[in-house]
Amino acid sequence: MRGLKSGFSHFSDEELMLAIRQGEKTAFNELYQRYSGKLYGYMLKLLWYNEVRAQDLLQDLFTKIITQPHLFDTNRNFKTWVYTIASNLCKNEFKRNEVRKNTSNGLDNHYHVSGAEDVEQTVTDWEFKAALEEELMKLDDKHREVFILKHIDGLSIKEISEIVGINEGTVKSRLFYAIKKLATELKMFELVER
Amino acid sequence: MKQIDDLFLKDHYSDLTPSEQTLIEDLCSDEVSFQQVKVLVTRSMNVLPVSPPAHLLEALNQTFDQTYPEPSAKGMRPRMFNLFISSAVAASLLIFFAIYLFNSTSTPEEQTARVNKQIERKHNPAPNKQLAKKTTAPNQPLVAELPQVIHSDPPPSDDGIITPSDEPLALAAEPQEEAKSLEIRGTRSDYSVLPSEATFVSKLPSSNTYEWTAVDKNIESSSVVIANVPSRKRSNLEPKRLNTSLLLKQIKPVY
Repeated sequence: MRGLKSGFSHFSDEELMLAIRQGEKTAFNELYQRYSGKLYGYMLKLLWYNEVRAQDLLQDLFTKIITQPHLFDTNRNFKTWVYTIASNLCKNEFKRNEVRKNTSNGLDNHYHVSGAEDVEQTVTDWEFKAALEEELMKLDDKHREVFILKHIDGLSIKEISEIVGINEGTVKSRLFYAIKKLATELKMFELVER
Repeated sequence: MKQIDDLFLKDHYSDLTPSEQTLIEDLCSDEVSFQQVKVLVTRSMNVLPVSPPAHLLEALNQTFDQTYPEPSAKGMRPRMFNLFISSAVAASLLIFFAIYLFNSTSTPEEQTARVNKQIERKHNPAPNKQLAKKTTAPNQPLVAELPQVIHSDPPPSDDGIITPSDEPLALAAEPQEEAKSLEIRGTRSDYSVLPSEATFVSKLPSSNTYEWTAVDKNIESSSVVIANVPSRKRSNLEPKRLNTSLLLKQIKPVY
């Protein structure tokens, strides 16, 4: 089994999709290992850390990959395609459930928000992460999505423009706004870093 | 945008060139704001990705198995091969058993015992004698009546051509001193009885008929007279038997 896994590890995402079409389970597992964490984190942030909904959507996404792999055009970039699906699933979720109305200040009730005093005590990666996530929730959907795709998932401006369906200039302007806003809100970390 | 990201890898705002400072002036215009953005950009990348729960993968694997239930073509080959092997083994076993059984039934001892039994039956047909008498007795009148019927038929035509209907008359007209009544007893399948001279029981020379006997299948080694056939010569009526075994031996294989 390990041998088979390592056999697919050097495959590109697009090649893995071709293998999945032919019923190769190991190829699917390889693809899942590559993207499940990133997509789950992306969905969690877009859905205000509603874990149950994020898991449901992630399962829907990978089920679509299993049952309808032919929908993917192998000439396209898989990463862009899969993030587009994830983005659309989250947007549909916004519309369907009106998530924002049920949350206070843009945050899910299940999500624990660290207080400012906690952040001031010990600055660690985890605390920065918590503070960043908190500030991300305060951003608009369009600014948050672009920031996550760029600075957390590491996608290029071109890829983001394809996923979100906007031109590259708009992506840049949204990104600038998000960075400025977040940097201002997280300035305490800059002070500590010094 | 990649270039802008690279700019924040520098330690201080003062390290940037004027053109670079212009490029990011929307984001930061001084050292303080530069450091704020730098922390955000660099540390956001290090945010550890969250991993989905394990049961999600299990559920997806089940979905995968349901979607692609059939094994790949590679898996089919061993199955076909196993099927072929098992059928070959079964066939060879059948052949082996057939040969074994044939050999076991035709051992020399058993064969000699069987031949001896047959000879004994032929020489001492004691239990069948009464039955044979019973069967032959009612047929006697038939044998006696048959010549009368032949003589009652109209005379043959003068043209000398013997038609099938005329044949009995022609046969009756010929002298039949050589004719003998032969009684063949035994089963029809038992060919060993036929060529042997011992099996032909010669009767009185007055009888000019062959007495064909057949075996009642229900009663073993019992004989029943089917009919009495008139004939002028035994050699004429009895079909010539080809000694096929001798002929086969004479055929030499050509390589």
